[in-house]
Amino acid sequence: MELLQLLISGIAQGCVYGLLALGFVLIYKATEQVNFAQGDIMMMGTFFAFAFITGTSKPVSWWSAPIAILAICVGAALFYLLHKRRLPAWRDTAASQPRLQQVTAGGAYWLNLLAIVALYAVAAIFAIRFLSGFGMSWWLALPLAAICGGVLGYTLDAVIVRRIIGQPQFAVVILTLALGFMMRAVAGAIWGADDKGFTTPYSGDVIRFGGGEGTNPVVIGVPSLVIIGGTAVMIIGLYLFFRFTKIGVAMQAASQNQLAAYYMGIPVKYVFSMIWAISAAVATVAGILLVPKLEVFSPEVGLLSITAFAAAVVGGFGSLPGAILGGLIIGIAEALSTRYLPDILIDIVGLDGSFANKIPQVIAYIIMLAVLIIRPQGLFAQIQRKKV
Amino acid sequence: MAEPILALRNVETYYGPVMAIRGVSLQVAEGDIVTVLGANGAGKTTILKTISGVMDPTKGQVLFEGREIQKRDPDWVARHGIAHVPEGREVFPFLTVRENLMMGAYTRSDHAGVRQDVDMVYGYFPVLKERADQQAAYLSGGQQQMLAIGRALMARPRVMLLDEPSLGLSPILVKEIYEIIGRLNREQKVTMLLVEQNANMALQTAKYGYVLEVGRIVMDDTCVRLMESDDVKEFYLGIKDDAVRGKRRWRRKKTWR
Repeated sequence: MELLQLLISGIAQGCVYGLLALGFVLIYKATEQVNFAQGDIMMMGTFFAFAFITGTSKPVSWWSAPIAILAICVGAALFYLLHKRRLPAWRDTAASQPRLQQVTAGGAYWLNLLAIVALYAVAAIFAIRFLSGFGMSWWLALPLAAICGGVLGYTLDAVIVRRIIGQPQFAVVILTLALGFMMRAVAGAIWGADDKGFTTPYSGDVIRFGGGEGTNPVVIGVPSLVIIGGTAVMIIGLYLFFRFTKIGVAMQAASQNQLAAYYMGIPVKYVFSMIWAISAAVATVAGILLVPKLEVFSPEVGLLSITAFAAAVVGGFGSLPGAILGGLIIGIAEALSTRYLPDILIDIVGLDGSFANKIPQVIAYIIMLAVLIIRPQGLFAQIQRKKV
Repeated sequence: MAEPILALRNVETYYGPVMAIRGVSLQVAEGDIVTVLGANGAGKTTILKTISGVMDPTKGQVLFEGREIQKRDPDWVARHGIAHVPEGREVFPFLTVRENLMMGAYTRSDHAGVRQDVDMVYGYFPVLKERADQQAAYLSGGQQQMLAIGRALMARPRVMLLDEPSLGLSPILVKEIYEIIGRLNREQKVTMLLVEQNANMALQTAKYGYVLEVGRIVMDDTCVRLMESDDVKEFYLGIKDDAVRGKRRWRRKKTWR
């Protein structure tokens, strides 16, 4: 029953890829931006949870809370003042170009922006420090870190990414890549680049069944099951949210027809930032659930998002169920190929062992390339006819 | 004319380097249907986009209920009672008809009123009720146009901006749509600014008309008198007056500049 174990483990890993891919697709569908910082947002969220659970070595500094609140208040006031100036509302028309220049021209604008960013950074640092002074339980840390991750995602869009709307796609790609590197550096500077881990109520638990004379019992790690269950809960929650709440339907509307959404009075900029927040929160939960399975994590864990990107492409960029299914395909393929493929390659194809062992590490990209060649729109692409 | 609910004062708008509107002034009185006629590229759509805040004018003012709104975000404008029925329908293709209508009421929070208005829209457009749970992408062009109008109606607008409701529809459907537009104006007291290429329908429905040419208003009058004007007859209604002894059109080179 080795196969069952491998499958469960692969599905769990695939769920994490799928949730990350979901974030990619959500943001892409809405704003046509690819957020390459997705994995690093997950990494930051996981580190938030780590900080909340373990508690820092320093004692709780009572003054961090008031400082954080003060900084947030000043930042909010400045943010309000800045928003009274016009920002580019609609990015597609050539008409937005002069408006963009007009808004960004003033030196005071950048000064204000810098002040806001600095204040929010201060607020964030002190808030995180305050919260991480206790060493709280995993149950409390999970939702709290998800909220912090969501705030991080919202802020990234509202303060930074939104400002290059109307520029070429390429600018967004480089910007998000750079943001990812910065977050990795920040996490390394704060928490150190070495492997970390935290314990959860179910770390190391296993379920054993079957097995008798001559056969080994099936051993399934509880962390994997929790990932699968958590993913199912989140997908159902997201489905209900997008289907039945007003803001959820408005998010769909804004990603289907941005201009019409503006005409309806939907605050499109806010809606897009909320989509970033949802993606970030989902990624954070995925990261936190992944830790007990991997047992360790480091700032490099964000590189998972490259595999998740492959999953999104396999599923058809732009399809939400496709993102999850693509993630599952990649996860299962990785698990199975790691166990079986090297033997096959060595025994049957006659490859060198050290080479054959490396193949499963790139299986995700091999699948992605195969899908791109055979079915470029992705396996589960939503058919969409562009109106002429 | 009474105090206009919507007025443009010497508005100039650029599409990038191209000047699309070159100093347009117009007024819409409360309760009226006002139409702007013009050929392709005259700047009709740009006028509506400027009003709803999607484009910003470089010069001039847009006044709504006496307030300057030209620097406002589109969602602010929509919230304060200007509903835009965009050119080419622009429905939300993967939302159901009902969800599309609910998005029209996004800025409202009175649930009872919204439900009542959904029924009101279904009353005007019974076909939308039949297809309430279908995705909007599967509606025909005419039905999508009805949905776009119904969706704008859901906001309970003070002013409705209609951008070429006849675009791509059969003559019978055009007539049907215009009848409903007229009824909406009479029964729901919606003020309308109607932009059209189909001058015949527009002049019959509206009360006052402006003729736009290459970004300038070249004529304005009541629709009854516009319909009698030789230039409008010749250039927009396609009626050639034979009494002028078959004088050929191209010989009377007409410019307004």
